Amino acid sequence: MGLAERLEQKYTYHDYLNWSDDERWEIIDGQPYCMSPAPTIKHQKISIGILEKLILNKQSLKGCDLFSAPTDVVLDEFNVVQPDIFIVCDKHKITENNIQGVPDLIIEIVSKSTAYKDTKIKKDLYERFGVKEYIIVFPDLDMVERYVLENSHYSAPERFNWDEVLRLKIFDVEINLWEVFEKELPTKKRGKHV
Amino acid sequence: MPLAKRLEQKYTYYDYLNWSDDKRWEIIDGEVYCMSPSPTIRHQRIVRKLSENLYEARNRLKGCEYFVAPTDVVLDEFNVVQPDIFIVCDKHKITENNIQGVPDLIIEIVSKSTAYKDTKIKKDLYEKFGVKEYIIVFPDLEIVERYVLENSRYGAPERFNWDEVLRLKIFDVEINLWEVFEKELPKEKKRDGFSGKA
Repeated sequence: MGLAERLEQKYTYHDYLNWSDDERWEIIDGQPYCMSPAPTIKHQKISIGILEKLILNKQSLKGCDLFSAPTDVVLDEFNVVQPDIFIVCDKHKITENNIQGVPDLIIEIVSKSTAYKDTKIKKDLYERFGVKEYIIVFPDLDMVERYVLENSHYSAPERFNWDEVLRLKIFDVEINLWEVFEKELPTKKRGKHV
Repeated sequence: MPLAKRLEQKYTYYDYLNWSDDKRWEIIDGEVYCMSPSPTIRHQRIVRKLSENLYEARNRLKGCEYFVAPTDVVLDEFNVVQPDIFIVCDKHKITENNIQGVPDLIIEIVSKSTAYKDTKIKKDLYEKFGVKEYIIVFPDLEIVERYVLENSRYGAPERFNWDEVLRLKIFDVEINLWEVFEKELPKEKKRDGFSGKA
């Protein structure tokens, strides 16, 4: 098959499995997205910070499983993603090599090169596939955005500042965002930005 | 008046007028927000580019006027803001010292210290006061977010990437975002859905 023909074609998970192993890819709607370069240290620190909170609250996760990137999530043949952090409740979705199906909760940590993908392309994707709770962390803005599925749709996102507590919607877990962003909470009353 | 008592009280535009002139302030719901330090050069370049766009499109602004910060916008007694860029259509709102009333369109350019204020506090404020179109520019992420008032509410925001054209909702104006972010548009078509107007 010629290259031109190839490019007009949608890629599938089967194609993906034959690509170079030393690069990470995502496929959304049959379009490949290269995931290099590796995330920044700040990105990874935030990722670890959130994972720690979730692990500490393991008993609140209702027996669901916690994963972090790089783990392939095969939503369908044309949509394969590697979310930074996600939770899967249905054990049948967990196979030896990947997740076959839709996670219940996904957390993406934004970097400059993924901002549009995380806030628009993946937001639409996760909404379409029915991810119940989608959390987007903005490391450089010290802020978090959250979408919750209602009647199969995400409406306007909630926003949380670094000095707030993020209470997960579908699990009884509280995350102190100032700890995730490694910031000191002022001793005076929160919410004053004077 | 003792300070403790003062702090529990809501501040008004009247208080504001008596404060130090060498700092910029905003008041939202009677709470005071200091606007220093001044924005970064990148922030100001983006303001400049957007202003240029509006200037070039001035014939399509339906006689409305655009302004840039620092200009006081007095939404009401307890809410006074200085949006980065805004457009006012009703001439009666324009007074000698400030704007008395609600702009039709507001653009804020996010900096780290204002991200939550711009995307949450001001978003709620502008929705409450009925700003028809609210655009938020993220300089470092090279994306734009837009809220449009429908039935007095903002729904989910639209998102635009740096390689897209932002078409204003309430004016017939197109803004090439790659110019705003000072980026080169790749030669070939980048993505499906890209409208490709250079």
